[in-house]
Amino acid sequence: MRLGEMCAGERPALWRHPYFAMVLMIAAMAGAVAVVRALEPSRGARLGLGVLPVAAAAYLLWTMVRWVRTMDELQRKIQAESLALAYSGAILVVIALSYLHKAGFHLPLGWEDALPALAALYALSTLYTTARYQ
Amino acid sequence: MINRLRVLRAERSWSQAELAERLGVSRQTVNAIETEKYDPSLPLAFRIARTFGLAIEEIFQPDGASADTD
Repeated sequence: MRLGEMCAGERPALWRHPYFAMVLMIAAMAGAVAVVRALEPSRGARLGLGVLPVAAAAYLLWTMVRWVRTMDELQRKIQAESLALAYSGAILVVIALSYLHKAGFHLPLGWEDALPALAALYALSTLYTTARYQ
Repeated sequence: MINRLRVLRAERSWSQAELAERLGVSRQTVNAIETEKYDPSLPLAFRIARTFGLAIEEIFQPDGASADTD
């Protein structure tokens, strides 16, 4: 799937595309966590680092809304099905992790891993759903 | 739903991209309609009919159209 094929009308510049914003958000989250762990910054700096991924997530939402508005009806259907698949998959993963935890398998995963995992599931389900209509 | 989109497009020597541009949709959508993997909405079906200068039922038919009319 090429980026240009996804939009029927206006094609967003790369920096306004949700895929770019998703990468930016993952980088912001990973970067903020790494800096806090490695440098142990002051309380004020930690606050800034804590808000940084939120700003990146807000940017992602903005690009998503703009992107969906440029899509035609089939592309919107593909995105809706992809989101449904991704969220269903995420719920299955959460249930599986929960039972693994109860069974004594303590995986080193936290809430900061949830959004990147959801993004990966969304990307995979988009590829699958797009292929269904080709 | 079955349709004659590919035949009508071929009669006019339009590419999928050209038809997509006329309809204001993506080439992927035109392809999905032609291969009958996706049924267009009523507004898009009207746009398609207007583009070809035909009535909707001259382009789109329900799957069991011939059996229904017998």
